[in-house]
Amino acid sequence: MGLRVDHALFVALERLRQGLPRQLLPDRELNRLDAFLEQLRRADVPKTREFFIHNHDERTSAQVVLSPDLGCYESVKTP
Amino acid sequence: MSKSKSRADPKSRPNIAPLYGAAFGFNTDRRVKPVHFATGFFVSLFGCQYRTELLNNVVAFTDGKDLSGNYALETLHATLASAGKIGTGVGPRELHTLRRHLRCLANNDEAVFPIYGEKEFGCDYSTAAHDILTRTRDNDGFSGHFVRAVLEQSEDGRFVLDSARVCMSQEHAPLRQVFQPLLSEEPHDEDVAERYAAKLGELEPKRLKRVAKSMRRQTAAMRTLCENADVLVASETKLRFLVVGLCIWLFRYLMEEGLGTPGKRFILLSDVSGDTSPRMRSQSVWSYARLREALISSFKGFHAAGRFAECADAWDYVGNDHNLNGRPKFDEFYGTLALRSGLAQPRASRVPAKHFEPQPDTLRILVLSVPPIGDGLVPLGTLLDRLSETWGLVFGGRPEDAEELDRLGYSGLDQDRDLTPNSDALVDLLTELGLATRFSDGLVMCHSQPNYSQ
Repeated sequence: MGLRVDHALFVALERLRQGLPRQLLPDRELNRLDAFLEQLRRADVPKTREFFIHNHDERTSAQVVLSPDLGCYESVKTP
Repeated sequence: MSKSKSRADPKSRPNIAPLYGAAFGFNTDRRVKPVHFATGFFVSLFGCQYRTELLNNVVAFTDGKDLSGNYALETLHATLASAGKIGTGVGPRELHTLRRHLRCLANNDEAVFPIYGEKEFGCDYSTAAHDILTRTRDNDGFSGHFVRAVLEQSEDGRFVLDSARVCMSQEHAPLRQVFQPLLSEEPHDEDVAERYAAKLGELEPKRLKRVAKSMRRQTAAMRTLCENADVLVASETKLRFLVVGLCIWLFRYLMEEGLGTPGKRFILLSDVSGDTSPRMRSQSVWSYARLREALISSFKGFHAAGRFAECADAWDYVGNDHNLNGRPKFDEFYGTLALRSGLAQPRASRVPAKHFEPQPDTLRILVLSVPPIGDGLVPLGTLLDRLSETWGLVFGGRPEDAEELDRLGYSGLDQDRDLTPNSDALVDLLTELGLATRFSDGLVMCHSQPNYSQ
């Protein structure tokens, strides 16, 4: 699985990093990114207890760690 | 005199629900968003639901509003701590951060409301797994149950239902894992069929078989969509494809059931030219409004066919009530289904004139529902034929479209100035989605498997 980052995609990623909303990116770049992310998600996701949640509306992220049996939230941090 | 008295006295209002049940098989008197449909469909499919009280306490809150009872932060913190659901490192401040972030996952369609110890207003989580299903009200008007019951009647339909079960039962789905501490283990049985019968009347097997037969092409397309999605996309995307696909199936069912007269054809004239052709846009707006009015008129056809024999009082009420003025409640259902499944635009309520314009994600779903992945490259004409035959969508890209549009009353559309540019815009959109390639000789081929390498 790979993602060929050409100039157009590099520019798109840089704009995203600077905070441009994704819906304002050219569709071609968006589709390539989505296809790559889709492949990543299709890969076997192991059982995990550490999650990063992005709140798109508030533009905040949180790192949530669960106990090994997933029965308890052990820590919640904002990077 | 008695009639005018009955209009004024709300107590004399007959139960209208059986009228809707007899017409299309479910309540069309409300706004049904995909999230409402999904909840009804999956609760019917699994025959159970979960209480999810802790999950509701955590995610159902509004910023800036004083929370009470189990929803108040301090109370919630004490409850979760005593139940061992949060560790010692999670104080009230961290819990608030957790709530804000879990809320955006569970409530991304703003259909989650506090339902335990608060005023109940329904609760439809963004569906992620079967044990996050909670039904407090039948916000879908039983449309989910109806679709599930029809799909049970055919082999293709049962394949779709099996795919839906698998989709909702992924052990390691990320959303399911992150909600895990808040989920209750014991399901509550739900007899949706019994509730349906009590409100809308019996759903006769004969009727289900008839509908399954009339929708067999669309059900086969749903099977193709599930098969393609299984190969192409991740589990959450599969679920989205499935729910949006079923909403489009439901929209198409309205046409088959309400307007399925032999020899009479209704189409969804789609304008994808981006507001560059006023004629195309106005004809597409007319297509949207014309279909809605035809479907409302179909109630008269149902009445003439004797469908309302057992709810004649309800039909009389619809005809005589000055608020309804002979129009059964249908507009909001039609509009919400068309707009929220991405078939029509614009969503803004301030713009009353809607038109058919499949949104990119919906177009991807529509396209992936018609060519099996083994088909490889498919000529554009073949794809347009399948989209028209299966979903009723017409873009003006087929040689026979101009004549057919003219025959159906869509007059004034020019091939060179309206139809060809519209179909060119469709090809551009399909190309951007990785679903079409325009070769050097101008031939356009569509991909059954998206190709992003160009």
